[in-house]
Parts: sequence; structure tokens; C-alpha cells
Amino acid sequence: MTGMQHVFLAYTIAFVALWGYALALLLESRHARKQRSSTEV
Amino acid sequence: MNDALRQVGLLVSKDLRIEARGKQTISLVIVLGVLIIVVLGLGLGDQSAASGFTASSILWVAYLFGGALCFEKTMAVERSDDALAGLLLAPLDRGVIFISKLLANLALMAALALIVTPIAIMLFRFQLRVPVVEFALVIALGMLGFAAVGTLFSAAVSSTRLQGGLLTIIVFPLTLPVVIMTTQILRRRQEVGGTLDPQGLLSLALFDVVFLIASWLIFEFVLEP
Amino acid sequence: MRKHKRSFTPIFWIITFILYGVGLWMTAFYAPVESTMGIVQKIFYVHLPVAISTFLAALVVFIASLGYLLQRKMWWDDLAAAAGKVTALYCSVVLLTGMTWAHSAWGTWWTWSPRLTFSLVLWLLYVVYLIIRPAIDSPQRRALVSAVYGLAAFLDVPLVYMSTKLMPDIHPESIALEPAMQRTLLVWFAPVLMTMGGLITVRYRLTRASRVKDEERTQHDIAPAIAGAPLGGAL
Repeated sequence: MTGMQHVFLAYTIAFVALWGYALALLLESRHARKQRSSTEV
Repeated sequence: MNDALRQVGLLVSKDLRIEARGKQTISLVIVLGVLIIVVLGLGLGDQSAASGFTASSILWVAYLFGGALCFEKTMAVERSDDALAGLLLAPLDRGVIFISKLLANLALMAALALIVTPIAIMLFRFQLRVPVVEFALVIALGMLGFAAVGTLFSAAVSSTRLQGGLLTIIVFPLTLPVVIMTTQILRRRQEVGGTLDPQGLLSLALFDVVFLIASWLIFEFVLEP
Repeated sequence: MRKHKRSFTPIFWIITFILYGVGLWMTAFYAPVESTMGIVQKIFYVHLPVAISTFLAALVVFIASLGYLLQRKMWWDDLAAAAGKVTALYCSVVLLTGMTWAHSAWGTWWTWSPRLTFSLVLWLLYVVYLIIRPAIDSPQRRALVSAVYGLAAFLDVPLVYMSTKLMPDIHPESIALEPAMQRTLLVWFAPVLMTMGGLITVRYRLTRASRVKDEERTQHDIAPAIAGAPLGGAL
């Protein structure tokens, strides 16, 4: 692996971790919202 | 102040007397210690086990895991016959309970070390390569910090379902600095012409002070019947 | 029923994303290549801000733990849990980017250098925080044990640092930053810190909402809410 590839790997890790978790939370809050509206009277 | 000391003395002697009668905890702990030494010693192969550095590490590991078992047991003692409720009702400063449990734990760990170390030396011809006094000093400082954390959390998790395993998982990451520090200090001492690193000892002492005070303060919030 | 709040202002996240893009651009085209370490040094621009954020998130865990211990209000625990997850996540990034840098610089993914060891211990501290929580059934006891641990873990951080200082420093490294590098680094702090704050906030709101919902259901004598699957609840 070249230095460039290492840089790319590092930034990919950071991106996937941070934005992946953000996405996961977004999906979870969407799901929670749906559940809430379905149980609302 | 004298009152507090007296109370601590009473509580510690109570715990140690209970222990002396049943000898349950100490026998469990010693057996565990010996098992660890044997497993590690055999696992590493006779040759390496005799070297100074590996020997002190194996012993330290045995003391640590034995100690973790001690913490669990000394707190578990209070679970039978609602002893804990009785203890809490007594006009005692919670801090006194902490110190007495801490001392009981240290006493047990000391007993563990005193019994298991000669066995290890005999079985594997361990050579510490460090004067016994210095080894004892470093280990004692390490045990102090380790026991402070262990005593605090043994109270915190004593009423949960998973006690033992949970306690081990909690205590070890927190006390990794102790492991690192003691290992580095001993390693440096074992080198040819090595000395006891003052910076290392100071760092270790700092860990002890920080966690003794913090655990003593937080213990108050943690004890619930 | 209370109207459900939006998960978080979309604008916030859009801005964060844009800043992230700016940072990437600056890393690629604006920041010069460092002379002694080469192009790998560029990992630094994301590595350091994430490391600082890890520390800040751990501080939030500390404060929230203290808050719970003193006030015994469950929302403190929700906050501590949320911040704990973000701390562990960010620490994972620190560890992995550090290892990537190590692999490029020294040809090995791991070495017991003080810096990497420090990152590893920190990571262990907060991953354990995630693990112990689902292992305790009673919410109050869970909050209590977590709070005590949250306090202890943060107190531990400087001590871990001191202990790693005693370890043999195999690979000393120092970075002298040119102005362009400094600017790039500063820019990176923005999206990283914003993401940290945003993630903690969203996680906090979700946790709190689900706990409140569980409590309401229990009060209404509906079948007791199960307090989350053992490890599924960890994230």
C-alpha cells in the first residue's frame, strides 16, 4: 500500500464511522416517529 | 478521628475473623492464584518462566485476578442475613465502611501474595532479579490503587445479577495504568544497572492517591441495600 | 400525545457535511505535503480533531455521570449513555486512523508505542462502558454503576497518559505546522466537533424518548416493556 492509499483508507474509516452512525440514528428516529404516529389516537 | 479508627478496626477485624473461621475466600483465591501461575508457567514453557521479567509478570497477573475475586467475596459477605442493611443502619460514616473493606481486601491480597510467591519460586525456579523489598514495594503500591478501584465497584455491582464477571470487566480497564506502571518500573529495575524509577513510583503513587480519594468519596453514593 | 420533535435540524447536518467536504478539499489540494513524513502526515488533519472530540465526549460522560450521581434524574443517565457511545465511536476512529498511519510509517499495524497504547486503553475504557450497561437489568442500578464508571474512566485518562509516558518511546514524532497546514487543521475541527455534538444530541433524544415511552407503557399496565435486547441495545 502506498502512502496515498493509507491516507485514503484513514479518511474513509473516519467518514464511514461518523456518517454511518449519523445515518443509523436518522433511520432509528424515522422508525421511532412512525411507531409514535401509529400508536397515536 | 479516634472513633473512626476504632470503627475501622472493628469492621476489619470482624471481616477477617469471619474469614478466618470459614477460610472460604482465601482458599478460593489462593487456588486461583496457583492455577494462574501453573497455567502461565506451563504455557510459557519452563525456560522463559525462570527469567526475571516474565516471573514478576506472571506473579502480578496471579495477584490481580486473585484480588478481583477477593473484592467480590468481601462484599458478598454482607449479602447474607441482611448484614448490609445492619451495617448501613449503624451510625457509621460510609467512608469508614469503604476503608474497612479496602483494608480487608488488602489483607487478603497480601496473604495471597505471601503464600503464592514462594510456591511459584519453588515450582518454576522463578528469579525475580529485583530485591524482594523493592518488588514488594512496587507491588504494594500497585495493589493499593487496584484495591481502591475494586472495593468501590464491588459495592456498586454487588446487587446485580452478574457480579463476578461484571466486576472483572469493569476493574481491569480502569487499572491498566497500574499494570503498565508497575511493569515498567520493575522492568527498568531488572535491567543491568537499573534503578527504581522515581518518576514511575511517583506516577503510581499519584494513581493511588487519586483513586483512593475518589473511591472514598463516591462510595457514599454507591451503597444501597 | 406530545408532538414528536424532528430528529435534528437538517440544516445543521447539511452545514456539517459541507464543512466536511471543505476539509477534504483542503486536505487534498490546499495543505502541502510534509517534508519528512510524506503524504501520510495528512491523516493528522482528521486524526487530531477526532482525538480531541473523543476527549470532549468523555468529558460529557463525566459531567452527566456526576449529574446523575448527585441528582438521580434519569435524563442524566440518558445523556451519559449517548455521550458514551459517541466516545467509543470516536475513539475507534482515533485508533484505526492511528494504526493506518503506523502501518504506513513503520510497516506494522500495531506496536506498543505510548501513543497507540494510550489510544487502546482509552478505547477499552469506553467500550467496556458500552458493554456493562446492557448487562444490568435494573435501570436505576444500571445508571448508578454507569455513573460511577463514567467518573472513574475520565479520572483515569490523565493517569493512563502518565503511565504510557513510562513506556519506551520507540518512535518519537513531532510535527511542525506551516500556516496552510494550521488552517487545514483548524477547518477540520468544525465538522468533527459539530458531528460529535449532533450525534450526542440525537442519540440522547432517541434514548430519552424511548425510555419515557417505556415508562409510560409500564404505568398504563400494558405488558411490561422489555428493556431492550441485551447487546442490540449497546449501539
